Amino acid sequence: MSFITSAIFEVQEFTLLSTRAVGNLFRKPRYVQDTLVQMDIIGVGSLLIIILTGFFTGGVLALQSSKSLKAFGAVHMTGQLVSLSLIKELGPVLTALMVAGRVGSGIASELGSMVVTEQIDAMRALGTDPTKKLVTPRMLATTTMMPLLTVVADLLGLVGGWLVSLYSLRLNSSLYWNTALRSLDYNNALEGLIKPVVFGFIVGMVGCYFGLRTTGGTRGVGQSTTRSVVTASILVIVADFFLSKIILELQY
Amino acid sequence: MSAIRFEHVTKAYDDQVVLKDFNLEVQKAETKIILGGSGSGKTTILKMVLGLVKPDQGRVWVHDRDITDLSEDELGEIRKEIGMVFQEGA
Repeated sequence: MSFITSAIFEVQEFTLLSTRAVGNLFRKPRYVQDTLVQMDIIGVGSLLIIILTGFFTGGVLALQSSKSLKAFGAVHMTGQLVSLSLIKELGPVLTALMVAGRVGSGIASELGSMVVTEQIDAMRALGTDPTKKLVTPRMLATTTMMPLLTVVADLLGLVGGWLVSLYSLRLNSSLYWNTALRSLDYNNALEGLIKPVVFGFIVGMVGCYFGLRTTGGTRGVGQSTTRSVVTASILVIVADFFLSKIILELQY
Repeated sequence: MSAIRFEHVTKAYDDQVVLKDFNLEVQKAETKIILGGSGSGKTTILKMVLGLVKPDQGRVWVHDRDITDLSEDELGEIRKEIGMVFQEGA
């Protein structure tokens, strides 16, 4: 199979799996318990890394941007720069990349191990559809948890930026929060919440896809894990560009 | 009435052909043993009976019903009648 044929085949298989996973939302059984467990693993489990990522990203953003803003005598705009950059771009993208590294890899290795130990075949032999039992709960959990994690990252990022502005840049607290919050409007908040939904879907589905396509024993599990993280990260960045473009076009 | 029937079944994984023009018929209450080296297609034959693996060519019949092109939901009915112990689960 040539590279192009193989790429088209992969896209087709990914689309089919995604369509089935979404279609399962409207078919019984719904495996609510499995979905809640996945939400706990993905959402609560990722909270610490998201808090750290958001906090330090906000801090470094304030630190670096203040230098450039100083040249224009606009250090007081640090809050605005931090909030807009975080909420529109850095919050959703960095959260998605961190979740892809932690959760996407976990999903791929878990499902990959189940494939090589024939647990998926056993499940099908017993009449359980693996996409219903394994893929849909994970897809739903990543899609719903990603926006919540992004909000946490955004908030902690603003706090990080505030602390740097307060203690390093010697800015007034109310000035920082005023410029940070006043610069945001409904469209910014919406953009910052639409992106994580798409990113969550990508991370969950890519992890499930590569996990279920694992071949070649334990070595294959490692390869699937690596592929899932690399592919999900690239797709998140590509999707971010196109989503930004679409949202900007719609706004004007 | 045969319990299981394979008609001219061929199956390959990438370039490796594991079954080529394979035929088999198992009657009800009949015992058959399949012997072969690693990678010779024993597990593939058993998975085809459950519809877990589809043949590239040929047809598979279970209880005189052609299961080759059945959907996962339709296969669920066939699978309820068959017990299988998987290698890794043993």
